[in-house]
This record gives sequence, structure tokens and C-alpha cells, in this order.
Amino acid sequence: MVGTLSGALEARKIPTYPDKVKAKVQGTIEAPEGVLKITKISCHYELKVPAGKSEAAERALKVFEQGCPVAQTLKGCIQFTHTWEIEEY
Amino acid sequence: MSEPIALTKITVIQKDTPNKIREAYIDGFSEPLLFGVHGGVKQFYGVNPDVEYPSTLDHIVSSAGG
Repeated sequence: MVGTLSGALEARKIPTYPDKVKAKVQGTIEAPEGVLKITKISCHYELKVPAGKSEAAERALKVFEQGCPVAQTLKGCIQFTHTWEIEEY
Repeated sequence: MSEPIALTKITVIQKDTPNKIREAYIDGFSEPLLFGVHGGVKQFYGVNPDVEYPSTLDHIVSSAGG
């Protein structure tokens, strides 16, 4: 997720490193049928973007999953949620 | 709704965008996993990183195998 998101941000002229893009990711492991499985992954992104770039960053956050190899591999099996906070500098 | 059996918590940091390197810190472990590109994935993205690391897709496959 972070790699693809960073690519989407860079395409919008938003620098992504160092210390500008971080994600806190939590996977929920359950055993609905007696076998452990990952049912949900929630991703919370912490972005630092240049002043005036918050809207462009939000647009990237709303669409990048469509271009993410991991999300596209796992979709249908795992429920993903994405939240974020954006700090301008 | 029942309580989850486990919650796996991970922090992922964009380390080096030109080389497509990310670090993932799994709660409870100090050493990060390093994600990058190599082989066909590197060619797909048209990049030539200074250092190659397994891709996130490699990690999915190794997890499945493991």
C-alpha cells in the first residue's frame, strides 16, 4: 500500500521521503470456521505534504488502491479500510 | 460479534522512493522487513534500484508457502 500510495503522491509532485509517508496497519485475525484467517486490514496513513497539497494528497488516497498489486491480489478475501491524517509543512 | 483471536500491528515507512524501499516494523520485533523491487517487478516499473529487496508480492507468496 505505502509503495503504491507513494507513487501516486509523487505523480502529484508530492515528495514522499524521508519521514513523509508512514502507515499504521492492523490486521484482524479470526477463526470464523475454526481456521485462522485474516479477515480485515485497516491502514491508517500519516502524510506530511507541502502547503496547499492536501487536496491532491486526498485524491491520491482515494484512488491508489486500484493500482496496488497487493490490494488487487487480496481483494475479495480481505476487507481493507483506509483512513488518514495529513499535515502540511 | 466475537473478539478477534489476534491483532497484528505493523508500522510501514516509506524509506527511499527512487529505490522503492519500504520498512515494515511488526509489533514485538525490532528488526524491520524490507520491501523493494527486483527481477520482473523491477522491469515492470522500469527502475534500477541501487539495492534490491523482495517485493511485497514475494512476501505474500512466502507467507503462503510458510
